[in-house]
Amino acid sequence: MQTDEAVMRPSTKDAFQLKGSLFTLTIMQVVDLNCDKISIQLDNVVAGAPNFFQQAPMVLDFNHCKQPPTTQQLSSICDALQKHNISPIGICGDHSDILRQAAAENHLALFPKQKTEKSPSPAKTDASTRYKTRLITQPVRSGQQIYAKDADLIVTASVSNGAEILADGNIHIYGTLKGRALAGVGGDQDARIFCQQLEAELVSIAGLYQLNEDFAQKYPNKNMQIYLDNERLCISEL
Amino acid sequence: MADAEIVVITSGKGGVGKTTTSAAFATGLAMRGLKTVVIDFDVGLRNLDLIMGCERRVVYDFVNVINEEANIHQAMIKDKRADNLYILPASQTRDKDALSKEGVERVINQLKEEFDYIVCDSPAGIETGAQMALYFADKAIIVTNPEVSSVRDSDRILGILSSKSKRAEENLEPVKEMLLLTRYEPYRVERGDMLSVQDVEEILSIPLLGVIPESKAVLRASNAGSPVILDEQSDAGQAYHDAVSRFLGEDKPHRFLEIEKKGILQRLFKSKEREGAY
Repeated sequence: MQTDEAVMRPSTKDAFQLKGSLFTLTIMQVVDLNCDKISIQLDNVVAGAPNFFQQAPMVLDFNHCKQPPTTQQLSSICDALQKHNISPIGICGDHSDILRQAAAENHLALFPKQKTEKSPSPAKTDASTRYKTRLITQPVRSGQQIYAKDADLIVTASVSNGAEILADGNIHIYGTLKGRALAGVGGDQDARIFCQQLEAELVSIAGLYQLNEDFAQKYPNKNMQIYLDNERLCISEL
Repeated sequence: MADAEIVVITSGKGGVGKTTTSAAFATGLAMRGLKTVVIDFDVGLRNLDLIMGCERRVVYDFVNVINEEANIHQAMIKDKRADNLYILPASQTRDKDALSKEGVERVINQLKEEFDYIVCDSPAGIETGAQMALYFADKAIIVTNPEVSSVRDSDRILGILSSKSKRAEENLEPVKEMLLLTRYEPYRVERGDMLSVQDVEEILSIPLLGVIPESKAVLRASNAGSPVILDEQSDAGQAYHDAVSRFLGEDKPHRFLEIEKKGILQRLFKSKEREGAY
């Protein structure tokens, strides 16, 4: 975004010259495309700082919506902003084809994806179980311990006897689970463990555990899942 | 000749046949015309020179070279049976802490320029000595006996290979791991006393390089100070030859996995042999 220098040398004949500059812009991260809801929220926000929003340029970000807005929806949102004396000038974030078209038809600019931006998304606060994923493609061997902090753990190999895997989220094992697996170690009772063959030494969800009771004989060659039901550890076939 | 391939022979557990395998394997490679050096990493408990029958010819050792008290050519012993084979013995009077990563690297880099293969005979365990032996490896031969504790330890060492080797630390292509199952006795497998090849393969999930049958020839060879691969009449010797061929990319069927069908006379003879085995 550092484009302070003039990009085109002026000549006396020209009617204008182009220059680069750097502005601080407000981004509106839209989570819900319902125009009425946006309007009501805008009422409150603008009332709180009317001077700040006086003809303020606004960049829209639809990355946190489930789907990009249609031309019509985008048009309504722009109208709502303009009614509040705010000027929508463009759209930032990932651009899908639908969004590109909607932007073009509403005469909005497209801002390239910003890599440095790490604003906490409002969507994250109400989805506490949204985890990142850690992927392990090698077998987890005896004596190894893998902890997927604040993440789901996917192992596309087997987990040996004497190995231990832990995750704050769910654990998926595309192979045989022979070692120990502990899901929801941060206390998430909705975490689950999935595996293609259960021969574990120990399984645990959110601190509730069960030792090996010869799972292998009980459930030969079965896809299994382990989860909590009313604070009771359940082991069932998938 | 540039850049030897570094092969570590390791297992985690002791007494499974690492040194026997190192000696046989290095000899096998050398017999095929490949210039090979075998290094004994078992500092303090050196055995390789005994099995290779050159203990009386040790003047300087690996630790001397690391400490720059001797140069590499003073310490290497040329094998008398195979032309292309050299042995770098361990020190008997020092311990594993005498091995430094920098020192080992310097020696290995020096050897790399001269040889086709560097075979590292790892000590048992998972501590400094074993980690040093496997650190620079390109390939690893995991020697495993068909019993649970050996398999478990092999699994452990495989974990160390995939996390603490140079290749793992520098995010290079992982060390190529191969399974060598030793002291295999088909008749005990059939009786359910011993894990089968399939059991071990399934637990460790690495490719099978070979199966070496339990054999009197191994003990005889060790005591005679002559690698068992030189005993070409023996089943173990032949099995090692097959394994070396497979290692070099040949496609050889696995042998000695089934109980041999014998006539009555041979069976009588065989059972007598077995009584005297150990």
